Amino acid sequence: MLKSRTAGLVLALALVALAILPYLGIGEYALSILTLGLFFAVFAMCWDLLFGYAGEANFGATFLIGTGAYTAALMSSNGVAPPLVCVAAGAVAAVAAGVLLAFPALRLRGPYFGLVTLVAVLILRQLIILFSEYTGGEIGIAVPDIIALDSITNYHIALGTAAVTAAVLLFVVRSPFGLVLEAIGQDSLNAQVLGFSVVKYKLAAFCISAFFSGLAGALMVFYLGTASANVFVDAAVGVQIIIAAIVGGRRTIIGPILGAVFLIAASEYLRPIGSLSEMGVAVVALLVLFFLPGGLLGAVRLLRGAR
Amino acid sequence: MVAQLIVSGVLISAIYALATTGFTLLYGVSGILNLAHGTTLATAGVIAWYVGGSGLVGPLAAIAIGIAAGIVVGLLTFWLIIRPLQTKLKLSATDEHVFMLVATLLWTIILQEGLSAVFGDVPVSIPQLIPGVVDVLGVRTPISSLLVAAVAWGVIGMLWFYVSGTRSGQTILAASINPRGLVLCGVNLERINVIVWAIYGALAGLAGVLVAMILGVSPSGGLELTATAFSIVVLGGLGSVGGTLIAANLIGFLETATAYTLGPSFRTLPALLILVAVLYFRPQGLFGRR
Repeated sequence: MLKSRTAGLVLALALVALAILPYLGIGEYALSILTLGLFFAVFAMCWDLLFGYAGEANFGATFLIGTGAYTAALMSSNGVAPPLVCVAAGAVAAVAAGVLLAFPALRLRGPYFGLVTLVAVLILRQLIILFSEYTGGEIGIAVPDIIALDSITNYHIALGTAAVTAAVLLFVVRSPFGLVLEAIGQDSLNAQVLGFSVVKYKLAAFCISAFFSGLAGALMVFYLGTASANVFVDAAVGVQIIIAAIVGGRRTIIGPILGAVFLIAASEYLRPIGSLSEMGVAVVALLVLFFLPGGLLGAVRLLRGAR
Repeated sequence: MVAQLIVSGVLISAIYALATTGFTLLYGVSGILNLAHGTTLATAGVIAWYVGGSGLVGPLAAIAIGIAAGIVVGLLTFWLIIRPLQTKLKLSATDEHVFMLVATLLWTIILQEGLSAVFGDVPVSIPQLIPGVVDVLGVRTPISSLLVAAVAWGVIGMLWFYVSGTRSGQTILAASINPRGLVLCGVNLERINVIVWAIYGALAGLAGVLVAMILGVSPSGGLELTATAFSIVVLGGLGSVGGTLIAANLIGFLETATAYTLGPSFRTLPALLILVAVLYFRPQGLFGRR
């Protein structure tokens, strides 16, 4: 198909352009924002897999991210293992958290599931604050090791993670597995009648989503140097992830990347105007929601369709 | 100790009950989970605090202005957020649900940041209306707190009378059961919606003022209030007012008991754990119907 080949070419070109961006004289500051934006993009893509395809609105993305981040940070700060092992352990721990979170999803519907995911974040946060002698409470844990010191390598790590996640998720949603998952998300009763095991497919989707969330969370700990509850285990951050995914365009995987980078960049560059900056971002997001319900990527598709 | 626990439990539960009835009313009638609920409360509380502190008006007028602020926020939520989403976008049921949650969350951020920009993001509390303490069960209790509890239960009683005893209230009840049937009977659903949102705003406004009197509010504390209200409503069963009142007392007493026995930092944990347990075994809540 020509259309998907063109899209693939555009994506490959965009990836190459992003990879050589640091050598084109972009400033340190802009690079650090992009790095954060790309980690955030991974979170938003993972959320999109659950909502756009499996049809589950997860309000507790930071439950998965936080589990990955804190596992890695705790292991590293206690000198258990080198950074890369910690990151791998974080991703595995996040998968375990994902399975835990998937169980209510298989029993509960609509707002109830959303509430449980939200409560999961609150409970994890409470536990982190209660056991502050180990976790550093609201201040957080500093990790002694780093993976890379210079900002260009860190940027490439974030870009690589985002690219691999995007590639895997795109492959997954286009595979027969992904099509069944989408069918389950849109009409789970009919999918069940056709003989597909809803439990198996949703559980798998949660595991994939959790794996990359935890991986990116753990890598982000080593980039930032600390794991703190306000960054990794915060319901408000989970909300930002949802906003990024919906503004970028849900059920597209690629759209959430745009949304995440836009959201991080917008709130960084508007920082000088203080608390009004977040208000501005929220207003823009609300306008996108109302006037471009398909998100930024949906708007691009609309334009292409009109031509 | 036990007497102290009972007195503070009753007080907190009364506020929780009032603070969640509006939320559950809205869900029952229009199926909307307004995640800006806590921030609506906070807006009313902060504005009442500001007006009262400015010295231009008396304390009662400040409370009235706080309630008015709640009504304004409620109607704005309906006109700016809910109605455009329902009428402009053609979304599937699941999508509309999540869009509604996301839109009300964005609205929360807008309100919260607007409030912080104008009044500063600091916790505020409204001074007590009447000074002095009385002895209740051997516990020294501020008269003001008793008044707050009485007002909260009084307003809940009035709401119950309105819904079950007046024509306009019965229409709202009918709208919650079968909106399409009501339209076929020639009732203007749009007008019902405006009435419901105005009542919601007034309830939230009053609750916000009372919360500001007893616990204190801050612009960024709104989301936490929403979380508490949400858990109470889900525990009681979404849309069930009776269940909500019982759940409010349950959570109020549980939180108070935890704070007294294990320490204030554990306050919200048992309630959250019970909530998760209830949802696992009885997803429709304690008193909800599927």
